[in-house]
Amino acid sequence: MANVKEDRKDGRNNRKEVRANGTGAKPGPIEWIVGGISAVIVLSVILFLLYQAISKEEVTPNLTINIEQIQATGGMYHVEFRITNNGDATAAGVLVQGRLRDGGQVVEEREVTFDFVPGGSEARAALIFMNDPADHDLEIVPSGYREP
Amino acid sequence: MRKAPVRHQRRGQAFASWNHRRVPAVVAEKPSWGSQVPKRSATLAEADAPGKNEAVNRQFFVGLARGFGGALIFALPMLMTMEMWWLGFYVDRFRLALLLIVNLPLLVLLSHHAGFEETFEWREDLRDALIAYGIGILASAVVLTIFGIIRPTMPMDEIVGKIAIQSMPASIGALLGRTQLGGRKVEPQEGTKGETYASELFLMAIGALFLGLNVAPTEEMILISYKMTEWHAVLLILLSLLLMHGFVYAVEFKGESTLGPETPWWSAFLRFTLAGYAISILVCLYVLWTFGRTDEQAATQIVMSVIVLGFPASLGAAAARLIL
Repeated sequence: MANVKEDRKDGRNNRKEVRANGTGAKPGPIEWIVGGISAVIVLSVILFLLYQAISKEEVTPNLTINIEQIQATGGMYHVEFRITNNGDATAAGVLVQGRLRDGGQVVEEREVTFDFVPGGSEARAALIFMNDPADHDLEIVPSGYREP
Repeated sequence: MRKAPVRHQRRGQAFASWNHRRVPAVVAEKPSWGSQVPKRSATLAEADAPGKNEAVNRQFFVGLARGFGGALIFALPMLMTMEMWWLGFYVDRFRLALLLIVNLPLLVLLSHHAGFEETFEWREDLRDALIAYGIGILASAVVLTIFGIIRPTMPMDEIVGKIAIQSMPASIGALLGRTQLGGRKVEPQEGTKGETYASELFLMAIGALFLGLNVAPTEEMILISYKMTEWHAVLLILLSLLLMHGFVYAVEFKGESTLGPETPWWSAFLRFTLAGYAISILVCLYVLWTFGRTDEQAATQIVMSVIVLGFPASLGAAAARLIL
């Protein structure tokens, strides 16, 4: 066996022979260690995904909005907020509308669109009002979304 | 078994003669920017001939031209992707700086692999890596300027950011171009078992970058991961592994000394396929993190997008010896 292989190798150039000299068919311990670690990484990724797939319950996005801060910049009011999707499904094209009200009357209305709010993730944005939100009732609500 | 000592002796001789031949040919065989002139047949005496300087200069420019060619072949898909332009101005500056720093040792190692020498000529490899880096930056700047993506009126931060994020793929392309357009191939390092193995894994990582970087910045990577369920992702992992193993077994390593015909499939699977796949998804995770695709994302989403990007990246890793 060894003889046949040897003859075949003779046809190659010196580089290959040097290479063969250095490596040999028998793998060293480092190869098994790296292979083992890799197997653990890949297996844990697969198990994680399978666990997620099985434990998944909600199939609709669950969008909530938290106002973080209001900044007055250049005569305008930036209302920074954070939208969180507590559901498992991803929402695409999420339209968020903000209104300033005086009782039943809408003083000002602004809107912003998120390309994606993935399940379990959050995103941040700001609405810009001309009137000071401190003088009015401020409400920010998600209006709609579509499936990605 | 009786043959063993004889074989060792013969190999020993081959090694010695290789060593012997190599010493005077050091200048001749190292495919570097400056000293590509002397072909295999050239000798030191020839290199000392009067026409030497002109020939060296000419070859230096041929090397540079190959570098530009390689940079364009590798980086054009990214130079013509709008997400890459946007990333140039919004990507986190610390992560961008880290990418540029990580790129340098990567280029030095790649330069080492592109050479014929076993010896580690740190200075030469560093020089070649820096030239490739320079070509990458210059090529990106020229192309982006011609496209009108960068204009003199733009703030410096934006211009530098747009060029910087392109300079990594372009510089890798420049280094590979010098080798490939010169009719050579990047080969794993020849050394001890451990070195050769590390070298194979390094080339896999470059292969993963090669295909992965092309698609990593696009919106589609993320969109695909949103459209897939976790079941799809598990299937995609299995498909990636299957295809990788096909490459590892049939194309890449079969017949090579690293994988003899008597190596059992699971041994190759564990040492090369799984290791290559793990490296690919780590490379993907790093790239996605650099591009800010992992920010404020749920763990599942990060894993899913890594798996999606891991598909082209793992094929690049497995086919590294074909495409590099």
